Amino acid sequence: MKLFIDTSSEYIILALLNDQKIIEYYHENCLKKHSEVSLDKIKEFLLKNHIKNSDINEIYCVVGPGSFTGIRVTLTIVKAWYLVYPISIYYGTSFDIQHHDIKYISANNNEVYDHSYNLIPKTNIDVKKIGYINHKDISNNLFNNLKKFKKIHELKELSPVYAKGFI
Amino acid sequence: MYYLAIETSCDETSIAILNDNKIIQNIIYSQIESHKVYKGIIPELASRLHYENIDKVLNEALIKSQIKLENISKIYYTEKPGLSGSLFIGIIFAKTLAMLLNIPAIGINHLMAHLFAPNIEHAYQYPLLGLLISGGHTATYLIKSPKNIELINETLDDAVGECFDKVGTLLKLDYPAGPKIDKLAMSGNQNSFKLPTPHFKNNLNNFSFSGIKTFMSQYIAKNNEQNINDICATFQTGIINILLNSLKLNYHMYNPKMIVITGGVSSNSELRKVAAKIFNTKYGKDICYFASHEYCTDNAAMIGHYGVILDKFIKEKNNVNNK
Repeated sequence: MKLFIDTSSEYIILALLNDQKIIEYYHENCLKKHSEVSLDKIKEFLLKNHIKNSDINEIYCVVGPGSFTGIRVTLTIVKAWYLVYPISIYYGTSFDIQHHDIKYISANNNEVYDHSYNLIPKTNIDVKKIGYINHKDISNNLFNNLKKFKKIHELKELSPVYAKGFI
Repeated sequence: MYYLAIETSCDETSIAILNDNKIIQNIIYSQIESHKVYKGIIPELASRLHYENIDKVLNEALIKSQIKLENISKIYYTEKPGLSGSLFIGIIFAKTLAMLLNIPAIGINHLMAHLFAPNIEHAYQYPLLGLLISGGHTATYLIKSPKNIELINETLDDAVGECFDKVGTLLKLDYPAGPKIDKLAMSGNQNSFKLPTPHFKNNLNNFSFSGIKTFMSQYIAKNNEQNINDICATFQTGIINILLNSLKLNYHMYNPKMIVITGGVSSNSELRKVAAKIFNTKYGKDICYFASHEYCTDNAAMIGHYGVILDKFIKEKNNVNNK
């Protein structure tokens, strides 16, 4: 069973997939409370779908760009998971799971990241081209989009996309 | 029973492994070198480094102790207080490990753990006074049991460690300045100027360091030719007097069986010397204790140690109540 986790935007997105299709897709606006709620949401999601932790043999996670805290929440969970169950871990960017028309990922209230992770003021762009708007589209294409994700060979490869400095 | 303890409240990523209450490993990855250039902690950088290092610290602790994760029966982690971006890395890491290993994860108050750090090597006799002095906190507590800890007084503004760092910056010393000031003060004149003592209208026995920071800023600007060792010695002596005068007042007021001084600033060699002279020599009995240097700054061993003794205390109390 494959588990997909993305907390790089204001949404938590979780999905369960087998080799053929998406079994369950879940998304919720966590109002930037990822550090408080994400692990419980994952627990509930697995429980609701009668999946044991040991049933998960592949995890797919999003490394950004997006909320630095949100990204670290997912990646910290995945790191701990890998230390207990050394399963296959795959990572992709926030753009990888979006429709190809999506050109930007929200960085904050006023700015977005483009594909090269440059910061651009929101006022200069078409807001329809900002990611994480159409969840129907994300869920419909997730199975195929996860093929873009890369497998890690060791945990240090699991690095957040920090499109900005820390000061 | 093996326990895992995780501490990520500020700029140290630390993981300890305990066998009951015996500390087997206490691995600390300090971020000081990374923050030094900014003369203080940058929260976003601290969070990034905690994420980067936490699995390495765990692996090192497991390898050195030759313990496997499956052997761990409980996890203690720092729940609060601290930098939110730093805390959540340890919290989520601990809770995820606990969920997957199907064991409990217990949140521990970082300040209470500091107060019990000297107990790792010196068995506590209750009630005792605990003076917690660090870069983020300056407060005195009356400790009646692991669960019954009463705040007596605290700083109204800055922490004492912050004051050391500010003076260090003014004297162009590397961050953190405490150890450097301590070293320079060893060969300085302790009476080269008069450090002001804060006075309080309502509660004579509180702490305040913001006025001292301002005074030092003005004094150093006016006396930039003065010997740096003398400045350090006089400043440090003044601070130690403020801390120990308060402790003396509290000692007479609460008549404790012991006094413990803990937190990063408690590593200061002059403070240790003067406190021992006042309480252990003058009062004629060994009542004042410090933790080893390893347990003074932030570390996971103290988190695990306090978790274990708190659990034990609650269990014993429940057993008595059930009888």
